[in-house]
Amino acid sequence: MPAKRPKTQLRRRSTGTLRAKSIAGAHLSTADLERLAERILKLSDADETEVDIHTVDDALARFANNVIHQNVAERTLGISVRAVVDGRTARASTNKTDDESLRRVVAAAASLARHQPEDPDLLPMLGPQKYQKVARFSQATAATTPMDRARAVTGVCRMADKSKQTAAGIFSSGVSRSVLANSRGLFARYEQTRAEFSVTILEEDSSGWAKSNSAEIREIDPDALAANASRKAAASRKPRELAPGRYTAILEPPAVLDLVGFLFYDFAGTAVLDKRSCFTGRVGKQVLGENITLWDDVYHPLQLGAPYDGEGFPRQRVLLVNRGVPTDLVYARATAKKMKAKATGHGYELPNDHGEAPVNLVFSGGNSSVDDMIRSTERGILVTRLWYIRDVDPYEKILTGMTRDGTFLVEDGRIAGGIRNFRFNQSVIEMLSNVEMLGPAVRASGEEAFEMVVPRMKVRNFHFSEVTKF
Amino acid sequence: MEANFAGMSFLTTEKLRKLRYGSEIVNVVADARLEHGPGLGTFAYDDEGVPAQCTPIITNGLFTGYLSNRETAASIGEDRSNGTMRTESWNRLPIIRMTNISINPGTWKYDELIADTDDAILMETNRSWSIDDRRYHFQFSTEIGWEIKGGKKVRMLKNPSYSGITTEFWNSCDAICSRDSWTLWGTPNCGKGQPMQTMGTGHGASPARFRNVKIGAAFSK
Repeated sequence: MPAKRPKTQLRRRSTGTLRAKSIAGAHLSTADLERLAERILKLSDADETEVDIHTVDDALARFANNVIHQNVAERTLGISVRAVVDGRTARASTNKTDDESLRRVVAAAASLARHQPEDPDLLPMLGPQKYQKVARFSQATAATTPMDRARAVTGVCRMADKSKQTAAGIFSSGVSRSVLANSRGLFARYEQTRAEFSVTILEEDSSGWAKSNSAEIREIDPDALAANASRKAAASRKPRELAPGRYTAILEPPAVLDLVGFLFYDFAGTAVLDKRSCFTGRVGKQVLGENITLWDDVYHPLQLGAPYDGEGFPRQRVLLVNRGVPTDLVYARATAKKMKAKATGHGYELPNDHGEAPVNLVFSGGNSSVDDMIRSTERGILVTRLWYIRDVDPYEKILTGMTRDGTFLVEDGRIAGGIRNFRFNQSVIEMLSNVEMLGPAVRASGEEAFEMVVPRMKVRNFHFSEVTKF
Repeated sequence: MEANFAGMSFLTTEKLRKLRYGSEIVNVVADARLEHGPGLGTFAYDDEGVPAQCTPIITNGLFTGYLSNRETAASIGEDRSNGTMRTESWNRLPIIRMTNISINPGTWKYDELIADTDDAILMETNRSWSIDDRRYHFQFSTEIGWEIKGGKKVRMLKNPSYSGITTEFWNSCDAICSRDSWTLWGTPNCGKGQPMQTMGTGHGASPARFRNVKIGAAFSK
């Protein structure tokens, strides 16, 4: 891909903060991390000290041309120490746990802090907090072996071979643990597992795709996902070329996700304060359709992530859009003070330039099935997936991108066959004002945005501006 | 390898040395050597230890070369890898990546090209880019443009965009400026691989003129 949008601002991590790469240590338990945090805090003589430790144990099998061509695993440990000295703050990191390395990282954080300008927005670190429990650790996911992944992929590749199709994709699983502690007595801990299967099925002139992501590997069915992708590839053979224009679009959940994923940062208080948000001047107004309601809700059963933010503030459920009206924003502690609002537990690790962001978006859904949407459509386009989405106009939220891996013409209430892929140039604000039908909200997984809970949507007047050659 | 993620290419192997990719003045190289310039794709040797090289990938408009590694070189009839295996870090597998993919300078002086152009838009400063997953269709937005009328820049334009089909676009190229206005640009965040690897790539170019390009689809209604 020529150039990806920087993912560092988009990828959610367990505490909603930015991750430093590191080595070795994911075999450590949460209790081990807590002891490590206590050791580090004892070494510091700064006015205030914060320790953020995280471990990741990830493995991935990648396949193409119906064979596994890559099997990788990594185990990482990251220790990040933030010191506050005379109203100044800075952070240093290491991936070593010996006494000398810990002393060195604590000293580096304090030294860097002393050399910073005073931060007028800096608030005292939080004391002990109470967090709502979330259960996002699956023993089955944690115990997954390379052979388990290989067996599942083998089944998918055999299915593709049998259908004279070609499969490509990934199957990954992993465990992450984190501890956030500070010298004022805050101690937060979190662990989660994560599994993901993504498959593209190719034919000579068509393709299909499916993907799933969950804390619980037993909720992922590689055979069913591959069968779905296979059906789409078969059904879109010999794609015809359609004239660009405005069509009714039936957007599968991953397509919805990758479009609305561009909105998440616009709900940050800092973005509105800086007049960088598309909701600047629009909060409290009827901007979207009345059938659009949106929460940020880390406690939703289909969500992942820690119940606290980068400072350890408990995450709150926030009603971001109520029946088409943007109602509230999310705020880090310092942003809340500046904007005379209440902190919502969405801040990034300090220090940072971004402020905060909602990272657990949950759309309210409806009851319409994909068949309901197709049956009620005289002429429209069904979109499986979108790709290479980029901003055209950040205030009107016009985005461009391509359809991919299963684009179909719907005519007279039925699928009429595959079509060549379209480029779209579409305002997301306009799109969310034109939603005619909503499916149930599901945990969707795409490539441009982190996972969210979104429904399938039927949208009128979606702007497909140009067509490509396949 | 990238069918599930970064996508594939329309440049299938039967097109090698047969496809008229661009007009006859279009010459593109993949050049990782220091003499090409200090680009984001410049290095001494790749992550298989193969020395940096200059590979002509479009020669006088003809598609003439691929990026390759030690495994794929033979499959396209080459004697050896042209040295493009790169990894983001010590803990990732090397994969074939763009190095410095640059269009060679042409012969036009910049001022002479403007003076020679009767009715056009001069695009400056890349703002965003998007392509399909086979690299046929593209849409690029720029921050600033200038309307050219009768050989002169007459007014500033905000956020112009252009779009089209790759080979149609490059075949419409009828003028490329000289080394005087050639710059080795670059992109720091090319993404490929799962787990994803971010890589710097260089792109040398000088201003060029293209005929009958579609303008403004990004804001069309």
